[in-house]
Amino acid sequence: MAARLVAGDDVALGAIYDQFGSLVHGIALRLVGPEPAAEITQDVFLQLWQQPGIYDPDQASLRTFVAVLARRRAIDELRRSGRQEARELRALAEEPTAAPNVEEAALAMIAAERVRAAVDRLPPAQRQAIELAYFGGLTFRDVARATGMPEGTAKSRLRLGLGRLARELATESSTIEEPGWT
Amino acid sequence: VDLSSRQLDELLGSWALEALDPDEAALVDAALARDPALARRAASLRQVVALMGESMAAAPPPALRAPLLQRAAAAPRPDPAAASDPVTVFANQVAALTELLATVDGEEWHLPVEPYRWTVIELVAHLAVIERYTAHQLGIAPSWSPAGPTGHLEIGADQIAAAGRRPPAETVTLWREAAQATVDAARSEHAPALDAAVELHGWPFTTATALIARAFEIWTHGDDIRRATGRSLLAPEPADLRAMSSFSVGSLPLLVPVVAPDAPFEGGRVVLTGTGGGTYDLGDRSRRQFVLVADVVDYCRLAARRLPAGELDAAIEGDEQAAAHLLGAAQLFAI
Repeated sequence: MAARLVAGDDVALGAIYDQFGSLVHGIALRLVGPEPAAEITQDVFLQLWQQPGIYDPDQASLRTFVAVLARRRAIDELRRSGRQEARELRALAEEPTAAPNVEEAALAMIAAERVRAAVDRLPPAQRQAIELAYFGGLTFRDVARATGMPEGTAKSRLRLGLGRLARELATESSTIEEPGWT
Repeated sequence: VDLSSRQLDELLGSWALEALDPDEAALVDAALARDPALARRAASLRQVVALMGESMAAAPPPALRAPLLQRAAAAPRPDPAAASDPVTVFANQVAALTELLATVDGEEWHLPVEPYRWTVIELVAHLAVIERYTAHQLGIAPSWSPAGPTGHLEIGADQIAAAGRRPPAETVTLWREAAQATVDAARSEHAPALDAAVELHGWPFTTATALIARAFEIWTHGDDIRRATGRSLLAPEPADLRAMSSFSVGSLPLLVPVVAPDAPFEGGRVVLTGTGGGTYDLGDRSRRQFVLVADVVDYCRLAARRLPAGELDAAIEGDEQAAAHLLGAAQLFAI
C-alpha cells in the first residue's frame, strides 16, 4: 500500500485511511479531544499522501508509523496549547473509546488487552512515568517535576518500563522485536 | 555533543515516547542513523509506543473521509520522477549498451541470445540495421534505404549474417555510429519535430514515441545480452523508466481492441510502483473496471515480452479479465 501511495494512487490512500483511521483518530482523541483529533487525523493522512517518502518500510510497519505520527502531532498540539497540570490530569484519566467495526474492534481489543496487561504488570513507578509521558505528552523533565523524582530517574524509568514492555510483548508476538538489552 | 552508548541507551525510552527536548531528540536521531544496533533497539520501543495506541482505537467521524480525499486530490504532490525527454531516454540507453558492449569479450560474442536465433554479435548487427532503418524513417539518413523486407526481424538479414564473419569491434562500431548519429541529429537545430508522424515496420509513431520505442528495444536487448553472458540485469534510470512506462501505458487504450475486440475497454487504473513509477488513469475514470498494481520495472519487462503475463507479480482489484486484456495489449509492440 505504501508503494502505491508513492506512485500517487489515491485509491490506496482511501484504503489506508479505512485501515488505520480509527487508530490515528483514537490516539489523537485520547490525547487532545474531539475537535483537534479530527484535524490531526486529516493532517496525518494528508502528510502521508503529500510526503510519502517520510515513511520507510525498512524502519517500521505502516501501522507503527501512522501511530507514531498521530501521537507526535497530538503531542505538538498538547505542548502548544495545554497547561501541564491539565495534561497530567488527562494522562491519568481512564477514557475508554469504541473501535469502529467488528474486525478493527477485534484487532484493537486483542492488542489492547495484551498491552494493558503488560502495562499493569509494570512496577507502579515505571507505569506512572510512562502514562504521564504517553498520555500527557510530558517530557522526561516534566515527568520528573510532576512526580518529584530526579530527572535521571524519570529517564531511566521510561527506558526500563518501555524495555520491559517490549520484552513481554515480544514473547507473545512475532511483530515486535526484542530490544536486545535488559 | 558526543554521548556515550550508555547515555544514548538511557535516552531511548524518552525518545520513543517523544519525551525529549528537540535538541536531544536530534542527537538521538543522528546516533540512530549511524548505529544499526541502537536503531533496532529504538525501533522495538517505538513499536511498543505504537501498540499502546491500539487500545484507544476510535472511529473518526464519518464526515471526515470524503473531505480528506478531496483535500488530497487538490494537494500538491512531488512528482516521484520526472520523465526524461525522448532524446535523452534514447541517448541514455545507447550509452548504457555502449558501456555493456565494451565489457563483452572473446567467445561471449558468439553465445546464443534468447529468444532469437542470433548470437550476441548478430544481435548487435540487428540493432545496427534497425538504427539505420530508424534514422532513414526519421528523415535523418534519407539516402540509406533497406534492401529486402522491412519487417523488424527480417530486415538486413544478410548484414546480420555477415557480422559473424567480421571482427566484433567492427559491428559494434557500426551500431554505435548509427545510434549516435540519431542522437546527434535529434539534438541538432535541424532535428525532426518530436510530434512529426513516423512509420516504423508498419506501425504509426511520432518522432518522440519512435525514440522511446527504440530506447525500449535497446534496453531490452542489453538485458538479453546480460542474460546470455551471465551478467546481472540492469534497470534504466528512474526518469527513463518513467518515460518508457508512460509511453507504453499511454498506448494501451488504443491497443486493447486489437487483443480483445469483443470486450470493449471502458476505464482502468494502472499503478506502477517503484522509483520511476506512477499512477495512470486510462479511459473513463467514472467507468473504471479495475486497478492494476505492479512494479514499474516488471511492467516494462512484461511489455518487452521478457516476463510472461502469468509471472507478473501484479495485484488486480476489480475485473481481472479486463486487466488481463490490458496486459496482453502491453506486449503488442514487442517482438
